[in-house]
Order: sequence, then structure tokens, then C-alpha cells
Amino acid sequence: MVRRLEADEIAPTGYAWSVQAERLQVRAGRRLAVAGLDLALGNGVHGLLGPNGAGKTTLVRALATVLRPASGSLRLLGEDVVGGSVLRRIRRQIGYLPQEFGYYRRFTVREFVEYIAWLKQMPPADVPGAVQRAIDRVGLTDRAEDRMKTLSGGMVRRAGIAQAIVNDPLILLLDEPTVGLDPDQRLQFRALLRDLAADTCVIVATHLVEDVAAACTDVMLMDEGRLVFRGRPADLAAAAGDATHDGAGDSLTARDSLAERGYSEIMRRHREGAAR
Amino acid sequence: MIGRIFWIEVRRSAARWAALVSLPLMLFASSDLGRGSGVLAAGHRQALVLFVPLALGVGAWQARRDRRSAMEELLTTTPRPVWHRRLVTAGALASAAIAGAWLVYALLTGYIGLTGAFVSPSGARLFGVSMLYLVAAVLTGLAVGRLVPWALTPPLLTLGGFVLMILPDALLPVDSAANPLPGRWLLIPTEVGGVGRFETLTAAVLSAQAIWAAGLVTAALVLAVASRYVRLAAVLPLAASVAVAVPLLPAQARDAVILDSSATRRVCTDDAPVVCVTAVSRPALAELREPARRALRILRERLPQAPASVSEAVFDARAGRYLTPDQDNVLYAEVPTLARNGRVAVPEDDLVFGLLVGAGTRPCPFASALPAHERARYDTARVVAALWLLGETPQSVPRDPTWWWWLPSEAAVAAAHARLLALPVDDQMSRVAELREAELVCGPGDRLEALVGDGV
Repeated sequence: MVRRLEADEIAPTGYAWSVQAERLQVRAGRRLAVAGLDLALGNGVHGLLGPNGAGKTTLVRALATVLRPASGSLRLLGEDVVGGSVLRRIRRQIGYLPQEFGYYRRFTVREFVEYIAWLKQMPPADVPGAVQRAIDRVGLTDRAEDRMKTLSGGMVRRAGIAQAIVNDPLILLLDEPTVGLDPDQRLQFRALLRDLAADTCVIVATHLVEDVAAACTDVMLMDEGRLVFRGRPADLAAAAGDATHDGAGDSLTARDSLAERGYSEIMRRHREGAAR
Repeated sequence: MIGRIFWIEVRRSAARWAALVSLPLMLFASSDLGRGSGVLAAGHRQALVLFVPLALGVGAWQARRDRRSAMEELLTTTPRPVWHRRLVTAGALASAAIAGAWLVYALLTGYIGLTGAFVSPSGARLFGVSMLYLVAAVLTGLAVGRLVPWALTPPLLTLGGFVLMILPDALLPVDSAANPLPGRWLLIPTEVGGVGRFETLTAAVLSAQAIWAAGLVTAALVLAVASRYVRLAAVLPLAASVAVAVPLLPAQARDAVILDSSATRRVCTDDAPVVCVTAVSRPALAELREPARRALRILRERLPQAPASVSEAVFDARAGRYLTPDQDNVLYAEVPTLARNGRVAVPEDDLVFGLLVGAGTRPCPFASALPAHERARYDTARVVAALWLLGETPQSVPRDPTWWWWLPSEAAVAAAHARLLALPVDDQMSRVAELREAELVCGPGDRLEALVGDGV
């Protein structure tokens, strides 16, 4: 389904970066999970990789305006993330799939996406078309009238993506979006990401290096709340070199993907550097 | 769009449970439907003891939906003000509670109307005010669930609500002439006593309750929907509604109930001898007509001063007297409209017997205050008079406990009946006639002794 673009959607933006963070610090409870991050992201698909506890989810939650920065600055769509009407304006342009995606079990897929569209204050006349388009894009057309509680884990994740993209967001934040998707669905999801990349700043936090390698325009590696690498997926593969051991000292084999070996090599080098 | 979201909430939230809160009324009220829709509305009011706690629990359950569904984080990132979302949910719950209750009421009232039983306009008003209390309970549950978002809040609130609803009955002194219940307690919806089939609440009491309940609804809505500081404003509608409602209430709670003139309106047969019943008993008129005329014939044949028409007796329990004063040319009938369809659920012979008890008179109001043994003597005299008029034996006295629960023991009746029959025939008639005259004026004296002689 082709959507008609409004004039304000193709007008030049008044900001250089969709996401701009300077010395950003964000707490997860008492812990400083994002510790002085500098970041500037425009349109494209940005893969966010890192081990458990690296601060990926905390960063995504801060970008989604769930968490407030402890210090530093965070600008989204050219505006400082503060409260009131500015926050409301920013939130209208954000799509967010949380890591722990919750949903109303008794709603149908269509009702759920519709409800989120209403919460995102979309113009009422646009909602039915936008809902149908979002459901179509995630491949849930034939399950649109089914209750959310009847969906499989992968379908729930796709419904989560549908609600995140229903408002055609300028910033799309997806935290572990491919959990539960089968290989075919993951391929479709990657195609969707590539489709979105033209006019959206998509940030995908994931553990799955091959998803990033296949679908992202650039890759960021985080560790202990800091950005330790940023480059293209090809740079990640190139970093693999002739590495034979991962960051934990376990053997790597040729069957491990280049991107995974590159990820592991970068983490190993970073930790060795940090240890010195 | 808002309509679509509202409809989604009605179908998918706990609103469906709110709609079912009043459903048990179908069970509670089924045996009372023959008594009219006023009794149905009064029954619903009493059943708020159960419905209010259920509504509280439903509201509290809904309040935890976002947490239960792990939706809180996603909702945080949406721009729509939180109160918009909460208001739609509150509206869905309140609307469903009202719609469900009215549907039950309309179905039961429709059935009442179809059977020809009494459909009371004042019943609808009473029910309408009860609705406000029900909505207040749903929204209070929503507010409490939001303020105390624990998993145990819904069951604890339901339990607590039930205790709160029965507490006044347990703690308040029994309403009596010597120690009357103050009128302010009428703000508790169930503290209106038993509203009988001929009764309703005064317009002032209904207005006061409506104002107070509207205050509760507004306060609960503010608590359920508003942000932290605005919540304090919930005090205002509470204070304002109390200030307006309390002066409207009577000094004593017992003065809240009055006879419903639409219920006591007379409906009579077109042909003579005239048989009249109240509007409430209208479905029973056709069945009552022949037994009533039979009773008139018997009285005319056996007594010198017999009544010429039959009229239903309406006792105003609050005033302690009958609605119409005794007239010696009228036979007063207590109409047992016990059947669900408003029809007489008593055999015709029993109806005739009932009409002839006390030689065709209503029991005197003083009888209800008599000690048990004196009351038994009083009733025995009245039953023996009926047997004498019918020429029946004590074994033919009806024994259906639902209608004839008050009858004295068969042995006492048999003994007194035998003594009456042992008297000369003319004496028998004059004594029964004297009993009738004494009962018509509710004069003093031991009726049994006057009827069958000394030493009984």
C-alpha cells in the first residue's frame, strides 16, 4: 500500500541530527548505565550491539523519553528533551518497541494498533489507513481481527513493531525486535528496516549481530555505558581479521559469521585496552 | 475516533464485568416480580449491599490493567495526556455499569408489564438514583486501584466494601419510635428500610441521595483521572454535595418512606357487587372477583349486617393504620399477589377463607403489638369466626405456610370452634356479628372470650 506524503513530511528539517547526545549519562536505578555518551544519528538504520548490561536498553529507554538523562544533553528532532509541550511534540514523532513489550491481551491486533495510534494523537482521519498499513507491513493482515492473546510470540513481536510504526515516526526505537521471529520473518523484518531507513532514524538494539550486519546502515557497539565502536557493518566484518579467540578467550571458528567474529574482536581489544 | 476508542474499551476492558454487576438481580428479584417494579427497584437498592462491593472490585481490577499487561513503559512514551486515557476508561466502566443494570431492570420491568403486574413510575426514579451509587462505586474502585496499585487491592477492596456496606446495620441502633434513626443515615443507599409494594421514597430523600451520589461520582472521577495535585480537588464535590443533600433529608430516617399514590390507586370491577383492588394487585382482580363475591354472599346469608362490596386493605406500616378507614359496608381483602406473574397463588377456597377471617374484617393494628399468647387467642377467634361462616371444620383451615404462616394451632382452633358450636344457633350468630362489629371499630376486649364464652 502506497501512502501519500504530506508537504510537511518532505519539507527540509530544521535540525542536523535526529538524535544528538553529548556527554549523556542515564541511570538505571542507582547504576549509571549510560556513562557519558556522545552520539549524533540521522536517518538510516543504526544497529546497537553490546553484551548484557552494556547500557543498550537504558540508552534506548532514554531516547524513548522513558528515562530522563542524569546529566549531559539529549536532543531529539532538534529539541532538548524537557517536559511539557516539547516532550509531547517529540513523542508524537517517536515509535518504540520496548524490550519487555506489554499489550492488552483482549484487544485484537487492529484494536491495539488503533489504540496506540490514538495515544500518539494521530489525526483521526488518518488512523484507519495508517493502522491497516502498519499491520500489512508486519505481515499480520490475516490476523488483524484476532485477539492479541491468541498470537504466537513472534506475532506478538510483529504486532509490537506495527504499533511502533503506525504513526510513521521520525525516530523508531526497537529493542530486541527479532526475538521470537522465525528466519523467514527475520528476513521480512530486515526488508522493512531497509524500507524505513530512507526517512526515519531507526535504532535497533539487539544481541543478534547478523541482523545488524544484514539490515543496518551503521553499527554501534556499547560496553559499560560507553560507545566503543561505530562504523559500517562492513567495518565490523573487517575487524574480524584473523581473530581466533573471542573476548572471553573461547575459540572462534570459520563457521562463526564474520560480523560476529568482528564484534567479538572489537570487544576483546576494547577490554584489553581498558585493562591497561 | 474517541467513539471508536470508547467502544473498544467497553468491549475489551473490565467494563464487561461492570455491566454484569447487577445481573444477580435476576435471581434475587424473580420471586417478587408479581409485586411490581417498585418492589424490584427497592430490591435492587437493598442488593447494593452486594453490588457496590462487586463494583468496587471491578474498578480496582481495571485500574491495574496497565501494570498487569506490562503496558506502563509503552504508555509513558505516548504524547496523549494521561487523563484522556483514564477518562475514556472510566467512562466505559461507568456506562457499562449503568447500561447493564438498566438492561436487567428493563427486562424485568418488561416482564412485569407483560404479565399485567404493576409498573411503577417511582420505581424507575428509585432505580435511577441507585445507578449513581453504583457508578460511584465503580469509579471509587478505579481511584483506589490507581492510588494503591497492588495485586491484592481488588479482592481486599471488595471485601472491605462488603464490610462497609453491612457495618451500618450492625452498628446503628435498631430504628424504633423511642430511638429513631437520624435522617442523615439515609445517605447510605441501603439505609432506607424495606420499601414495600405500596411505598416509595419521598422526592426530597431521592433528591438528597442523588445529589450526594453525584458528589461521590465526581470525587471518585477526579481521583481516578486527575494528576497528583488536582486530586485534592476531590474534596470539593464531596463537601458541596453533603452541604446541599443533608438539609433535604428528614429528621428521622423512617420519614423517608411514603405510600406511593400510583401504587395504591383503586382498580374496580365494572359490575356489582363491586370488587376493588390497588393498582399493584390489578392482575389478581379477575381471580379475586368470584371468591370475593362468594364471601359477600356468605356474609349476607349468615349475618344481619353484611358488607356490600370488597376492597383491598392497604396497611400503612409507617403510620400504623390502614390507608382507608373501616367502613362496615365494605369487605376488606388482603390480596396475596405472591406469584411471579402477579397472579393470585392461593386456591380459591383459601381466598374465601381469608376474606371471612374475623367475620370479614381486617386485623386491628393493635394486634401486632399483642404478646404472643394474646395474639394467638385473637387470631383463633378470627379463624373460628371464618369457620363458622363457612360451616367448615377446623381441619379445612388452609395450612400453606407462605400465606397462612400466622394461623394459630389447629388444636386451639378446634377447641374454640367446638365451644362456639355448642352454643345455641342464634347465640352463635350474634357472637360472630359482635366480633365483626368489635373488629370494625377495633374496640377493646378479648375476642376469643367474647366469641366462645368464659374460661377458654
